Amino acid sequence: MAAAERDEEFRAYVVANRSALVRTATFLACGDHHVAEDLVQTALMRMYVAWPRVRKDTVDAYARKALVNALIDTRRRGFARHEHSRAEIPDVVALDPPAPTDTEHAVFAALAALPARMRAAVILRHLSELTVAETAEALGCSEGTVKSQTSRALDQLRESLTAAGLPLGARGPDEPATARTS
Amino acid sequence: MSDITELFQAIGPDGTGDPAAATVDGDLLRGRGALVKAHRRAVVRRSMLATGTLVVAAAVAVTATQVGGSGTTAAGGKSEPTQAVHRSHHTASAVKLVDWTGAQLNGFTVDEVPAGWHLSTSTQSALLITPDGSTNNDPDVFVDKLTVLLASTDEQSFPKDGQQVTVNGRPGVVWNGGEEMLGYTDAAGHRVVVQAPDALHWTADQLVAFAEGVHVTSNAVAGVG
Repeated sequence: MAAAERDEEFRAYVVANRSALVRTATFLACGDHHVAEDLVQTALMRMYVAWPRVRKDTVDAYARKALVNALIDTRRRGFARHEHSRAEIPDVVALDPPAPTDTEHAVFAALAALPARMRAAVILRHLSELTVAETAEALGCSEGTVKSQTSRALDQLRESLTAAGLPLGARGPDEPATARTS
Repeated sequence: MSDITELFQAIGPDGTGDPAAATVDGDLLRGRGALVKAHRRAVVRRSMLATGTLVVAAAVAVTATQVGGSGTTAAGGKSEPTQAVHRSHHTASAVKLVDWTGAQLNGFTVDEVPAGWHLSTSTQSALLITPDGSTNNDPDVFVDKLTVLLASTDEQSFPKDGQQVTVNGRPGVVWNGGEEMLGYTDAAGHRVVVQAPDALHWTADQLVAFAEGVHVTSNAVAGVG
């Protein structure tokens, strides 16, 4: 693939999908916008390298997998805090994201209490609304593992959010069946 | 829809809307840097497999020759080569800086360019400089171009583990992102990244020397997002 063609296709993909990736990454990073941006940059960098091998009909799945891998790698290397510490150089005030609402604070804190893969499972199932099979593909695990991880994640989220004053409805087999009450 | 899904959908950043052009430029830049790095690693790996570790140094040398083979001696084109050489350089093959006497482009002005190179094109956040005779004037393609990029204000920081340098009296850092990169914040607060292609064979000092002649004008705009 010619460099210009690769750049053109990649640019079009980034323009169309970057905001959605940042949103998913923000949940994976438990509301830390800096870590979320790192995850997206890492995922997109890997996608660019692999671009000629990425099938157009699976490019979104590839992106989700790259995002999750970036999260797992970050956790594995233990540099989540190190990655976004500032160098001495910038003295320009970047545009800060809006301060989190109370609900966001509670949800992101609850997500932060989950192990990374369990968190990824519940986010892909309930934010990205992927199927169990699609989630299993993104996480590189079995569908049974996705179901069990999601179920346990929902239990823990429900407990944490109730304690934080955000009670949710009773849980079904994999998904809660009733709307939250607040 | 489950209550958790409803809750997730009610919070967090908006997942729609186009990112800023400079943000996309940054993604491209990082991707291309990673690709160059991957190619280099592949060349060295193949060389090691073929002839053993004793020839690794030779393989690296061959790689450098191959990568640097294009553009360094391009002649002709629209630059106006005059131009006294201003600085001594550390390596014999490095392309020297000469005064730029041609037209300046929107967003940036430069005092000097590599000998045999000219200002190709610019966007509101990037200036691209190419070898004379190059026909690649696509403003979205940075491959084999000397690029000055106004970094997104949302990007967090330059790498901390690079070589610390001084650009016009202000701190900067040089690192290898596949190609030699220099990041610094100028006196007006612009966060500037200069990417030098391997064809220039520039050291950190040469990158800094070029950057000290770069001026970001009021027409240049850094993206956010």
